[in-house]
Amino acid sequence: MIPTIVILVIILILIGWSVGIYNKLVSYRNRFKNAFSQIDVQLKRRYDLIPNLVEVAKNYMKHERETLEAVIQARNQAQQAEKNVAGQPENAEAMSNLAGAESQLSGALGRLFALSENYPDLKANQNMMQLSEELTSTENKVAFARQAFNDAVMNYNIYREKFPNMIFANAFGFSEARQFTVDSPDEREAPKVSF
Amino acid sequence: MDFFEAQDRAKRNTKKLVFYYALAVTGIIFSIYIVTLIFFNSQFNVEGGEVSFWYPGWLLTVSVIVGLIIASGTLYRVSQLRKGGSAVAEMLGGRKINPSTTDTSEQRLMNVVEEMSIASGISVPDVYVLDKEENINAFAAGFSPNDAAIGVTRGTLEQLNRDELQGVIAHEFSHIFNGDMRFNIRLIGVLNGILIIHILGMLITRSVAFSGAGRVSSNRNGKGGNGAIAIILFGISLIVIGYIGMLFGRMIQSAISRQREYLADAAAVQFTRNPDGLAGALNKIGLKSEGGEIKDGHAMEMSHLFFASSFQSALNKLFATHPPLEERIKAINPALAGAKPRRKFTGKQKANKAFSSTEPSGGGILADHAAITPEVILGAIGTIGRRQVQAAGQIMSDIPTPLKKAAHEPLSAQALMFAVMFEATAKQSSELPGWFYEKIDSATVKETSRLMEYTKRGDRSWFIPLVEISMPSLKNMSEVQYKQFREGMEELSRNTKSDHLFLFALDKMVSHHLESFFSEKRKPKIRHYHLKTLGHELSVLLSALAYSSGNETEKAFKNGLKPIKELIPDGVTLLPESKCGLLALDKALNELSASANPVKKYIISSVIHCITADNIVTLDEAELTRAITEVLGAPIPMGVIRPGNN
Repeated sequence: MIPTIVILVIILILIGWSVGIYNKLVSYRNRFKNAFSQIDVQLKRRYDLIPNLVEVAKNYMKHERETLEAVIQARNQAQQAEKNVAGQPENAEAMSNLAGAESQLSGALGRLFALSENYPDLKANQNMMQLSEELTSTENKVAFARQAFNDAVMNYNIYREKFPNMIFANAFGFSEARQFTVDSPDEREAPKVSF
Repeated sequence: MDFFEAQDRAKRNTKKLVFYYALAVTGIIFSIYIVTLIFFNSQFNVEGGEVSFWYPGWLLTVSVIVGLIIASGTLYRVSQLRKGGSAVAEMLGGRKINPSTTDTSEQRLMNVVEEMSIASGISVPDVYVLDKEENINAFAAGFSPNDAAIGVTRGTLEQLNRDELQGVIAHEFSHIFNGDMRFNIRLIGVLNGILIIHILGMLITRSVAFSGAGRVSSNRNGKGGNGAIAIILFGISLIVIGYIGMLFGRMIQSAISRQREYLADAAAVQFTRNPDGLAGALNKIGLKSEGGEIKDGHAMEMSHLFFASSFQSALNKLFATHPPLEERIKAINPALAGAKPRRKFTGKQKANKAFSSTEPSGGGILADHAAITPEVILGAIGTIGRRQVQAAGQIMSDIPTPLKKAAHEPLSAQALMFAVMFEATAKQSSELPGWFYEKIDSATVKETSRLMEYTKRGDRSWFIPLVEISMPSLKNMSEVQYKQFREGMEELSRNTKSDHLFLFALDKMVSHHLESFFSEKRKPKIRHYHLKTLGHELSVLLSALAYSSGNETEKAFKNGLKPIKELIPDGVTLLPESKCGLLALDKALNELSASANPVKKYIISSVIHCITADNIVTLDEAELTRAITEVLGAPIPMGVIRPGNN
């Protein structure tokens, strides 16, 4: 009888232990999901601002059609990628797609701003100044929220990879999450806006 | 019933809970003892002699094992939920609402919660949405007002109008005040412990049924089969015993939960002065055939958390955690007495004497008129009146939109805190000190100087409300970012020459709300059961308050002593100003916070008598009081302490 009880107790402890790991994983995952919603709001805001910006720039940069087109296209792509991620920030592939699209968008915007240096009238435009100011501040907010998100993802990944959590994580289907980094180093900074 | 009484009542309920728990555990132990005896007697009873039912050694073994199992189940759940309301909300599948959300219905919910928070003097809790739930329901959870979370279902967001939503949120806030939340979490733990026996039974039955069945077919040895069957039977009896335990659990849940729902309804009406809102919400729940049903698997053990019954059972009458909806509507608005929930709900019926018997006496009613008298303020602790809600709405509309927006977003919220601190310490200056550029990242610096343009024009009375509504955003920082924020705060107070009240108040608010979120912090153990041991601390506290009143220091101090005159030791005297600086005060407050509720009640009463001695509450006094109430854990509604001109 005693051995049965001992076995029972051990089984019970094991179950309790794995339930604990499972719950901890869930709470870490929830935390970075919540952190992503912070980024999400700002990204959406940015996608809303960009068409306005292009609209204003169009009036002055008549000969830079291609650049403007490229910005809009990059924006649409990024928006699509954002939509895919928003529902499931734990999906590593969707996340790296978003990071790629965001890099593209930042690059396109950077080129737009570089070109706008040649158009003093545009630089002096009140609307343009306001829009680019708002865009920069949104970029900053994205960067801040991204840092928080990446920290949360790191905590989750570290916990997930520890032994024996790794075994449970794989069994329960907790896959590795991807950090949200904007890849190419020269585009890592927010587009420089100087007026 | 005032705030402290409500808290104490929650404690008494906890005692009741412990009693029932012990009863359930004993019951379970005995049933398991008997069951095992029956089995082993029939197994080993070869001599066919007398069957005895008294084996003290065996009883002890069973008690220890079962006790351990139940206790570990309970402790495990409680420790899991220790993290506070957000843990509960996430367990139920909640999604945290982003304070800077662009969704209009989520925005409306945030506004309602913020107004209620400012009115009540507690910081804005985390707000969650249960996206998958279509029915109307809501809950409040947490260990203390500092880590509270409020959750609503998607159905609530979409189907209720603003008044009804306000009623529901007020109901949840009153749960926060009444200390129901901590009790609720304990109850979840207890239920989990009792449930664990049931789960164990399931487990044994299944595992043996599978492996045992295999063995029987391969090896037609009668004995082995018998053993397997015996174990299966044992497992089944565990399941049954688990059910008995659950029955006990449900009884506890409903016995304690139901009366508190009435109370929370009463308080909600008292807060909003709009019985039709709450009644409308209840009516809408009643119209649905599913009521307030929650589909999540955890909903059963957490059903006592919810606004309305979260599950329906055949034994509703006996085990319902909530009173029937019609009864609740009737209690709120007798004009609708006897009415079943109806399609066309006209909110026009007058609510006359809705709570002749259930309404908490004192408090809110008084708070709705009248001047700043100590009695009014004391009565209003932990309750909100319509006036406070209006005052909160007023302040919220006074504050410029950019500042409010900033409070809803982590980067800007952090910058906002710095901007407010700079404005409080170095008035009207837009220069940022050199260290700030070194310590803090450039984006935050930029945002800070942008926000300072607004705070410069600001009113000091905005500052505390801004801090309150910034709390949820600040919780969205990562640990690294939080560390930088704290370092910035410390550096700033080091660079401020004299003691600064606002910085002190801010520090207390931040450390009480965020410290518990970012790191484990234990509540102080209660060390003081009367004021006799707190002589020096009281001297420091009242002296500091008296000096902050500006003039008539002596009078303020004397007035503060009035309500506690007979209870204090000798030697409580007005200290020289140098001896009651913020450092000394901080120490004193830490000691005072380790006292029992009745003692705290006297301390708060004394504080309020002190600040109202000259009938003017200065901003200094208001900020200091906010810090004190933060540490003592007794929220004072802001609408009541309306600072006079400085």
